[in-house]
Amino acid sequence: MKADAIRGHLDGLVLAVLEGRPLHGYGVVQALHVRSGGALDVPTGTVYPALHRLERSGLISAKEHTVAGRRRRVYQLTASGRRALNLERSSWQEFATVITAMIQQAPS
Amino acid sequence: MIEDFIATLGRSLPGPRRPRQRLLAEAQAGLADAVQTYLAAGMDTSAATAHALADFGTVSQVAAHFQAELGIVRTRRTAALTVVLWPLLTLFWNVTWELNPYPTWQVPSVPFVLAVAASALTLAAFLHATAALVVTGRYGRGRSWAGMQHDVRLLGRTGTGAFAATALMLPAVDPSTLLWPPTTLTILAAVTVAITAIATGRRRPGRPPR
Repeated sequence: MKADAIRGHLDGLVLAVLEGRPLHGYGVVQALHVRSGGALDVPTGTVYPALHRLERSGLISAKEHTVAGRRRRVYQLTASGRRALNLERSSWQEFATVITAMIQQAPS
Repeated sequence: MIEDFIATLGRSLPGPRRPRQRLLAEAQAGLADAVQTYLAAGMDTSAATAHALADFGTVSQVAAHFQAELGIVRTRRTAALTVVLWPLLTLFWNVTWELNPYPTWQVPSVPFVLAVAASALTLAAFLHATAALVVTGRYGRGRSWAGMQHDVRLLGRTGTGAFAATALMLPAVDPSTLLWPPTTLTILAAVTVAITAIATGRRRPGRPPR
């Protein structure tokens, strides 16, 4: 799946992978890769500004931890982030339902 | 190789130093982790580094995303400065206007009318900056607010510039007003803030990714 297709949805995807457990930056990159089965083809460099943006918006929070001997910012969802993720899920399901109904082959 | 890439990316990013360094350090750590992952999978260092950099994206692919975020950080700083300084400058200006024992000109006059106009402009800058702080923070839902960023910087520049110009008018009308220290301090503060706002605003802001 190309970057164009997920434009505008990266924040929601990052929130989704942080729902299960806190992760550091590269952990988020790996989780996105694993959850999409390797189909998500976005430059991983765009994840770091997304994390900064989500933290500024109060949707995730960060704590400094030592991971594998290195200092890392580890991110986790806030209560606002959980609500935003639920909203994103609802609106995506609504969107997908409408598009699926419109795009599927008409019965002959 | 990774250090060179991060240095090249850093050179393409204008903006506040500390947030930029934090973002770049995190990206560099992520690249180092990616290299380790590829090494663990059996690649040699050269191939692992090349794969990690290919996954990360080129400078032209990712710089706009970093710039957009740093642009918002800079706008928030300008907005915070405007929100803090506007009431202080207004207070000092009113004290100077009301209590200065030296002015010989009458109110209303041209400087008075211009001061009122400048106050309206700086009030607009203050209100806009307050709104910008709200929507680019916890209530903004992560949107880029590109138009508002431009407006905040423009209003910050024109508002403080008008304020400084009006402050300078006081000694222009009657130089003896400078003999009162609060007037001199207010004018110096207004001019300093205006120069800072204009110099900050002239730096090229980050363009948000489409």
